[in-house]
Amino acid sequence: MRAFFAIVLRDLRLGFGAQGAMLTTLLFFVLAVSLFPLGVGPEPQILARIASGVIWVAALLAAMLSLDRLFLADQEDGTLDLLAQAPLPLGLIALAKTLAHWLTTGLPLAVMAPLLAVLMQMDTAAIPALLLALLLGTPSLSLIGAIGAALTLGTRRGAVLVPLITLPLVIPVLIFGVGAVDAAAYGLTPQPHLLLLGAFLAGSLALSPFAIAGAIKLALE
Amino acid sequence: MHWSSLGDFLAMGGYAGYIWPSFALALVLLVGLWLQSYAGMKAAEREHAEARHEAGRDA
Amino acid sequence: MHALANPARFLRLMAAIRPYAAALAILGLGIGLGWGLLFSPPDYQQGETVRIMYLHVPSAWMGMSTYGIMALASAAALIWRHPVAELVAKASAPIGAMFTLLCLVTGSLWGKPMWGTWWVWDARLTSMLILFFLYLGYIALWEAFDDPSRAGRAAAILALVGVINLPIIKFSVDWWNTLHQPASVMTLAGPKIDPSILWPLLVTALGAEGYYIWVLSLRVKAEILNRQARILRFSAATDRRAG
Repeated sequence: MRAFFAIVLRDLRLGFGAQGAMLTTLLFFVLAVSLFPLGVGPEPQILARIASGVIWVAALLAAMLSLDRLFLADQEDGTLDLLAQAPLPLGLIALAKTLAHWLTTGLPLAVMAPLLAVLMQMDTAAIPALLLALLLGTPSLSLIGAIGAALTLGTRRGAVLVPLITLPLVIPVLIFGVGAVDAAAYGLTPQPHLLLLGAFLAGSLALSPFAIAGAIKLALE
Repeated sequence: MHWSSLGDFLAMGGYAGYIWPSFALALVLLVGLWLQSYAGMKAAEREHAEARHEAGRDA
Repeated sequence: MHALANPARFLRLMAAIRPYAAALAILGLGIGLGWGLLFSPPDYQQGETVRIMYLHVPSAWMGMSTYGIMALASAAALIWRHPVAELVAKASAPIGAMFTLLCLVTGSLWGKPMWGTWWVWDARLTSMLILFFLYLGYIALWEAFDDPSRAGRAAAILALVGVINLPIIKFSVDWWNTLHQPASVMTLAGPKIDPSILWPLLVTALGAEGYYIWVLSLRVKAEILNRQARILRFSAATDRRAG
């Protein structure tokens, strides 16, 4: 257990630091969302109509940005080899690093989202649902993204490849995430969508460590 | 046969512009992929023969 | 299964099957599509454009079934370290991608006279588009590695993750579609399946599977020979250096 949290803390320190993923991720998120009013026009009704989709897509893309380096830095300096030989199972190590990734990307994105929702003229009644949906959905993005990151460890174009192979797999998160927000905006309960997001997260938590560990072992051969 | 004349058949009830390009594309893709696969196989046969020849020479 | 792990035996088996697959492909596609074009009835609402369905529906079936085969082969490659299985998966991907692309374009051409637009985000087309992306990602992963054996196993993991995810993606897209689709819209599911329509569809689909096996046999042979050539060259080079 202590080893698990040691890995989380180490990655957190790296992630929150000046060269860490958090700032660039947040900046990209804000920038990407801000482009839409510029592209689509400032009419409030149009922005409000597309707000949930725009914020979710931007969050998806922002979360993908820092994934390719998730394991790369450790592979380059040999830490990954040491971790693989450690008594802690590789799947748990992968979960630790993924948790740190989420804490430095997905969680800040979720916290920043209500501000962007206001920019996009979203109905304020829907904002709590947005926050909750992002909190439930972004961990899945980190988990499935980590599979992509581990798979591309031996390749040269990992940065481009990771979004390509990860984005189709997280489309259900996008659909149910937006569904939750839209339901709230129409005065309906977002609960079914949130439950589906939770189920997807549970499935990802259960299954992705195997895929990630398998991919890391492959890369270390 | 559903069609009374060749003209009718080619016209496809006015939808010829959608139907014939569909079938043409299918033909192009099916034949094209087959050709590319066949060419790849032939090239691999050649490569393999050369590699075997070289390995035989050095043995 | 384990008998097929021997590449030479696999090649002999494929060579034996190939003429039958070719015959099935040519006859099946020829008869099925010919029947569809010449003998089957037009649709009450859609007119002659329904004939595009004889391309669109079998392509959709092939896109999905090929991914399934790819996943099975990937599982065999990972579980049993079956050397030929990962090559079967690799060779299947372009074929599946081609059928998926054909499905998308014929779907567009089928939809235009009906709905006036070149593209419609209905459930099937959207799912097929996502499947197309999955194929492209898989192929890209194979190409991204310098070491082919590593590529094979990484791609196998990706294929398995994809196949587990596919039903969830399909479910979410179907749900998304019912949410955004007005109730009166016709889907591209086509008319009710009446025998005069079902039989040409099935024969075409059978021909398409024959085509898949035919082309697969060509591509797997190329992969096996290329792999053996690489091994021969490598060992020749090391012999030269040692000698």
